[in-house]
Amino acid sequence: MNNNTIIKIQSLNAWYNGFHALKGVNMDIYKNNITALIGASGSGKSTLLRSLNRILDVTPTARVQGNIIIDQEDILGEDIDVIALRRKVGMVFQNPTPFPKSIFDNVAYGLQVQGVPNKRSGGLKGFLKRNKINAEDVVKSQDPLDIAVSKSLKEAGLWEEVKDRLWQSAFRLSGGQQQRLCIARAIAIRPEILLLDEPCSDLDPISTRKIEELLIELKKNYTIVIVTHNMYQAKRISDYVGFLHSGELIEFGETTNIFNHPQKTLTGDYVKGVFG
Amino acid sequence: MKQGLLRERIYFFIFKISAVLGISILLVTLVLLFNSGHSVISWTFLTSHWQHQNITKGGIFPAILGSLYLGLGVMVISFTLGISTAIFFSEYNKNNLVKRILQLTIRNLAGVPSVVYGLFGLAVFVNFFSFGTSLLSAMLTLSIMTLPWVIVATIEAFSAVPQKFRESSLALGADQWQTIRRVVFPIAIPASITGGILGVARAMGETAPIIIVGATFYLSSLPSSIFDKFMALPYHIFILATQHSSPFATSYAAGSALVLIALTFLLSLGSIIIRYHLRSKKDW
Repeated sequence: MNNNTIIKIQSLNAWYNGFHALKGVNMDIYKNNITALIGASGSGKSTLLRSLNRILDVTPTARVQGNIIIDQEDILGEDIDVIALRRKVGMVFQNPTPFPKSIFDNVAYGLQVQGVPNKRSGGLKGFLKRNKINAEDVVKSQDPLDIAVSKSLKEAGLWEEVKDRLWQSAFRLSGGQQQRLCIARAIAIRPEILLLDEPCSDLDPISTRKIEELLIELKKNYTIVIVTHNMYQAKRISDYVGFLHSGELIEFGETTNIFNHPQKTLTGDYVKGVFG
Repeated sequence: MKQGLLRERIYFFIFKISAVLGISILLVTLVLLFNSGHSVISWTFLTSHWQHQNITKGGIFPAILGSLYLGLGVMVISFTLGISTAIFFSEYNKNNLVKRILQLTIRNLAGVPSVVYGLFGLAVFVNFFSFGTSLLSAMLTLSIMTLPWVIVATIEAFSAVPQKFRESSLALGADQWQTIRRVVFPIAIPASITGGILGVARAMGETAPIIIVGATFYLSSLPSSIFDKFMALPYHIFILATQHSSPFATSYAAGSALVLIALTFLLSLGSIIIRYHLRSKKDW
């Protein structure tokens, strides 16, 4: 396991309207590893995750203090380019959140907002009637958007399932497919880091397994941070685990150590399922 | 029979009677109008100029056209202004107190009597801006009247869009305007259009404000610019029903009313079709 730190979290504190949600968290995230954040509801694990791409800014009551260093830059700084940060640190949410657009347009979205033209939306004609999209066309095409969409869908293991209906609404997909579509959408803009907030909590065991296999595959190219309620999931896929309780990082270390030789009683109780 | 069941039946009966009553009053109005008005409706009636001396020779085309112009103008002005205002309130302005106070004010504006808007239009558009009594003044006055409806409907439509869509878009590196334009707006717009069209339909039926700011009963030519006076259906109906000496006036009033109802209905139908189309493309 390589120990290349990609994110350095230093004395991170967070408040919601005065409620102290994160208390002085220090933690390193290592490149090309899966780091799982575990803990009971309200332990602050989602808050920690959401501060890594500053999506916490969207919550008006939230306030954050401390340092998060990514590429020698403190992303909590005032003059940071939040949009550039979010292009570097992608995120997948708890419930699948495809946009009410076609499968193709969903994956293309992140690139479109960067100004890459979408030739398949078809202008006014596309507004009146959705154009069918031929999968072979997309594969053969030299258009940067086509290349990105097919590549991302393949990486997310969804290409074979959707290639014949790329123009259809993403809402027609099953929950597990929608979540993989959200992963494809997130990796289409080639982030370095991928954050996942309980991505499997709404999914059945088979879909969950597909996503877990996908994440293990993806860590070759991305650094993954995943919040999970499910200890077995953390055990199955992660290389490092951080255990949070009431806003404090109780213990952080390699997954096997946390589960087999926890240093703190609280951690031991949690991974044994005494509370949760 | 159990007491609870009996009570339920009584309540259900009361609700049913109310529903039947409400709908039948509407139906009776329509039927009466149709009865007294359908005989005058003909191609000539719909497409010819108004003949003041012998009303059976002419038609109400200028009034139809005037009302159509008015409706379109109001739609363009009030939708543009109203939707922009609503976007500012619901997406950019994070100050909840200011937002609530303004929303309350806007809601109250929707209850102001239309004649008051007419006086406002007379003071501001006709006199202060010197637009005169004209189509433009009427469009602006009715737009101001419709504005609260559009704003309230749009704010509600925007707040109904789940936060997860905004967060997903922002997390993909979109800025706030891109998020609004590409994600929130397309989801919210059908509901916003529906609410707005209701306001426009109401405005098209208004008589009092347009008499004050620009409508007249009889013009020998169609308006050629937005600074001309114009004829409009509601005012036309009012005059025919109350002031005209011709023995056919009453049935001509009913016929014009039928045309006005049809126009309003067409407008609503148009919005239903747009909404249905936008929704069907979304599959939800």
